[in-house]
Amino acid sequence: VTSTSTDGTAPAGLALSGRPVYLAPLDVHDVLAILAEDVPGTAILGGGTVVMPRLSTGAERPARLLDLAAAPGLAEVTTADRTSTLGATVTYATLLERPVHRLLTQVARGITGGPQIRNQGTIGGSLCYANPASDLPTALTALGARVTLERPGARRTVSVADFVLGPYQTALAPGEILTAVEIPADDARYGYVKLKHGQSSWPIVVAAARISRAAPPDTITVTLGAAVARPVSIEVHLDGELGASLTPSQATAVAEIVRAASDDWWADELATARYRRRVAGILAARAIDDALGKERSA
Amino acid sequence: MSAVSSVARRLDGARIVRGTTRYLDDAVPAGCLHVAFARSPHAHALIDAVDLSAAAAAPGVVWALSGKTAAGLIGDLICLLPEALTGAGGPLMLPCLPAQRVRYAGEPVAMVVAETEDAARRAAELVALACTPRPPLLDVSSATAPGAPPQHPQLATNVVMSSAVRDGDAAAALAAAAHAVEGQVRLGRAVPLEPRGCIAWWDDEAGRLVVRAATQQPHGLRAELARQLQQPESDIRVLAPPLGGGFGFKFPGLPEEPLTCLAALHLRRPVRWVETRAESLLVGARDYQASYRVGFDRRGRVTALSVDLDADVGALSATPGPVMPAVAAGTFPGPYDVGHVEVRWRAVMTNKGPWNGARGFGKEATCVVMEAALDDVARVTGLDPAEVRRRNLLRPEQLPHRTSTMTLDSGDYPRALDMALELADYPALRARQARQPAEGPLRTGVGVAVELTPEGIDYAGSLSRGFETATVRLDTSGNVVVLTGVTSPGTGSETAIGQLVASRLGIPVAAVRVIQGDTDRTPYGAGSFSSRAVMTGGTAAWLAAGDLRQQLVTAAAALLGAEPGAVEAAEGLYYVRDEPARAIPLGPLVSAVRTLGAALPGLGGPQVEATRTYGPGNLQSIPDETGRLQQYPAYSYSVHVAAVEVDIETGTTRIERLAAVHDCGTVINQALVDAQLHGAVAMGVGIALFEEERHDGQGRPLATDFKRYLLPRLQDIPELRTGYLESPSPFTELGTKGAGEGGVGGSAAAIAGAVRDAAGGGHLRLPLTPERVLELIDGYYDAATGGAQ
Repeated sequence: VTSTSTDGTAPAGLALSGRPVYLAPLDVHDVLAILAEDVPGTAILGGGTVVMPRLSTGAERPARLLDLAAAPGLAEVTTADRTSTLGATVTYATLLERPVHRLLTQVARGITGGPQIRNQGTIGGSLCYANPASDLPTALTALGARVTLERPGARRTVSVADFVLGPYQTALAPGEILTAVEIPADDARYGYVKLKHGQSSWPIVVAAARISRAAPPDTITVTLGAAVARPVSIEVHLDGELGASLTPSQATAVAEIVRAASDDWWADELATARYRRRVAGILAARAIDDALGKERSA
Repeated sequence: MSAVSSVARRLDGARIVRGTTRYLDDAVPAGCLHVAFARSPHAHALIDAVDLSAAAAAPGVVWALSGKTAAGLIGDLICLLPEALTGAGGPLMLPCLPAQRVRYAGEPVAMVVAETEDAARRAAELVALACTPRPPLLDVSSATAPGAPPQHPQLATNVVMSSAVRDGDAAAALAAAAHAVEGQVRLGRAVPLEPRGCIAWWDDEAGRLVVRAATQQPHGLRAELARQLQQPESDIRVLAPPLGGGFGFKFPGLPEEPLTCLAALHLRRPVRWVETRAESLLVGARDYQASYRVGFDRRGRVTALSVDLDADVGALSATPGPVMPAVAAGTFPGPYDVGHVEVRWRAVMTNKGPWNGARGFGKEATCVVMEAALDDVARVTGLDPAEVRRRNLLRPEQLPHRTSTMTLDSGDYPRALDMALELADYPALRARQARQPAEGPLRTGVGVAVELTPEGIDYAGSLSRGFETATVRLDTSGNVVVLTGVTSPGTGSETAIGQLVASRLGIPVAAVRVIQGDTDRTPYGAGSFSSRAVMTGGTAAWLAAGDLRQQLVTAAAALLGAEPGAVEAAEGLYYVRDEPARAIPLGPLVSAVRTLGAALPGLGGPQVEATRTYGPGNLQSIPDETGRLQQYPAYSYSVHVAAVEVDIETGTTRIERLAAVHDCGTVINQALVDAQLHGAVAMGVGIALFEEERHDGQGRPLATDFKRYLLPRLQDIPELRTGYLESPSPFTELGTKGAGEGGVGGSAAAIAGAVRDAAGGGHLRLPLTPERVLELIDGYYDAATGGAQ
């Protein structure tokens, strides 16, 4: 294991300085080996946009920091067999530079916080943090993406929908790490909208709409996030033809279906569950309009 | 003054751009110890014991102190509130660390000093607070309910101050008014932008305490430290490094600074305290609720205004913060001609964090309430809201205009209104609003607000006085040093002061060095607040420079063999008018005065430095025989027009445009005034739409960082169109009035009015979060459809 430590590991020194041991393995094999050591209090750094502020405020005091930045294999984007594979440390900036899917490009474009966040924030970090008020768990659920979870000698894949179990909860087992995200190619139409309370707000509601071309008449799936404790996908069947945008009665129908589709509305410091429930259906209808509008302009 | 009005570049600009500014935490002395405070998790509790043993035994800890052990070592904080308003029969005292009662979640109950910041913070977590939690009082109504336990031992209730401001007979005028409307306004609790901190050390050679503190008031802090630490004032030196913003939140009066200094004295080592973001957000301001009743005739002329204004000032503090509701009350009815006014106000203690000052200092609340009332008048009469303002604004010929608390000095309020309406393209906005389709989620709203901003407070009885002293010193290089008691919290006041001195002495601004923020070097001064740095500190320096100019002209005339009346100065050269070859540069001229003054006949005295003290007129700083008190000498004002687009389905507001016309009297540096107005509007956007510190049911603050307390970002700030009027004050030496606060309340009121316009009315509760906007809209549609939704 190649690792660096910026601080002595003597317990007394640790207690006084409070600095965790810093580990930056050079490949995935070493990452897995370190995790297999099963030392309690190991925090994994993707881009650090969540962990580092928590270290600064003292909200988290891990014994070890495992930084994935030096393991280049994890930052790769590859495409084969109509499936794109994104390494866990692929950043929002990479999603903008190397478009994989129009929906993901749209998500990455909507990430605020400046280049610092877009260059540092990773898809694996966002998925593993599983903050309800975020974009990627919802967008990747809508895309039918799967994640690769690894530990020494074992590898499994699960759908993102099954990976995100609830607020800040994932299907990761002890000693396991998310290494990649697979996105299947898909010729459906997608739309995406996000509601925020100002530029510095986290998402209050996100909604992705998928309109299938294959299964007539147009099958619509709305995946809702931020408004609910975990992303939820809702099949929407509408009366009448789909035009360039929803008719008022279609939009009302979408809103009603979505409002009835969850009993686990999310609340946090920025918005109540009541508010989120009220506006979620409106955002869902706008996501469908976004998909329809893009089709028209494409 | 035209020679001064220019857009001189900031003297501190290169430092800021190159990142060489040394803020407090950029210079930590070697061997520095670090302070952390153990803070109460309870908002309200009776203290049984504070056990420091585990903390004191933790690695790296050198000292720990509780309320009990600190009591004999450090004097109490003294509140600034007038006894006539508190009824306490003496100044209200506050211990630095409580021994009996915890008054808010986050109140420090113990101090820990350790070798590293991390060790101090970890040890602070080991302090054991044994206490009996009590139900927290989290709003004015619970704090004023019968039987609510008073939060200060010298007071019988939680109303720490109450009074009324009266002009005429509002009750009778309301009864006689053709129309009357009632309304309510609430403002969210605001918090600071930059954490506080200080680093203190014992200077063994000089035998004195040195304190670098992120403070707006170095001299005021020094006087309080001297009293609390029982050290002679002259044996304390306070240095104030550049601030990343003051905004009123860096007034002394909170316990951490004196306690850090106590540790430095006690331990004879450098001690550093810098608060975290979460700690910084414990301090608040601006938590008001108001009910108003406005009487008017069918032509929209307001005849009477009655207001009940309550401020939730949280746990009592010794900062100027709790004074703000008195200022808010005294600023009614703003720039309007209202014959009968009564404002009953209270400052109420609750179990939220303490207040410090906040830019606007109460006047922003006045503006939001006043403008909500005028919007109601417009709605009832069917008049255009701008027309209602025009019919009620004081006209220029009515100025100066005296109320029971103010003497409005000068200006042309109706003209500023017209300018703002034109800048905003108001008729086009209204036309667009009238044309907007009934379907679709977007609604245009337009708001108009006129803000009166009394400035330059003279708070007699405290160290926050309205006058300043400045020393101007010439040197043989032809440079000039200005020593001033005012500080710059990042506003660039030193540049404007430098311009004033440079213009007076006929030298380039680059030849002026302005020294601020050092109690050893600068004359007594009250620091930075109430937009007074240039109006007072700048004028004192201008006067001192004038004294020197007279002396230099005399000396130059003697040396050049000319009449003093023929000597002029420009670009560092003193010369004979119409004979520019007969000239002497300032450096040699100063040399001559220093080496030959009082010796060579005709040259004059040897003095090359001058000190002057200046305070503006138009004050009644202590009550006169009728009880009238007027603490503000100058009255800036601004007019704001906001256009918003409200999404009635989600409650989201986008501010499309904001036009502002500002008049702060004589302008010394237009770029600096512009910067202040732009910053004020950004703050107004925050008040109107975003900023609010809320608490859970146990009184714990919910906003612990800037992801939970939302500040506007650049993209949230609308397109700004600004214009200026320049109506010099007849009561200040240079006609200046102060530019540092104008626009905070006016922009907030205009934006809030615009949202209310789009939503159809209702009670204003700021910030107008999307959820509250939907409540406004629901109320409107409920009313429109007879209650059904």
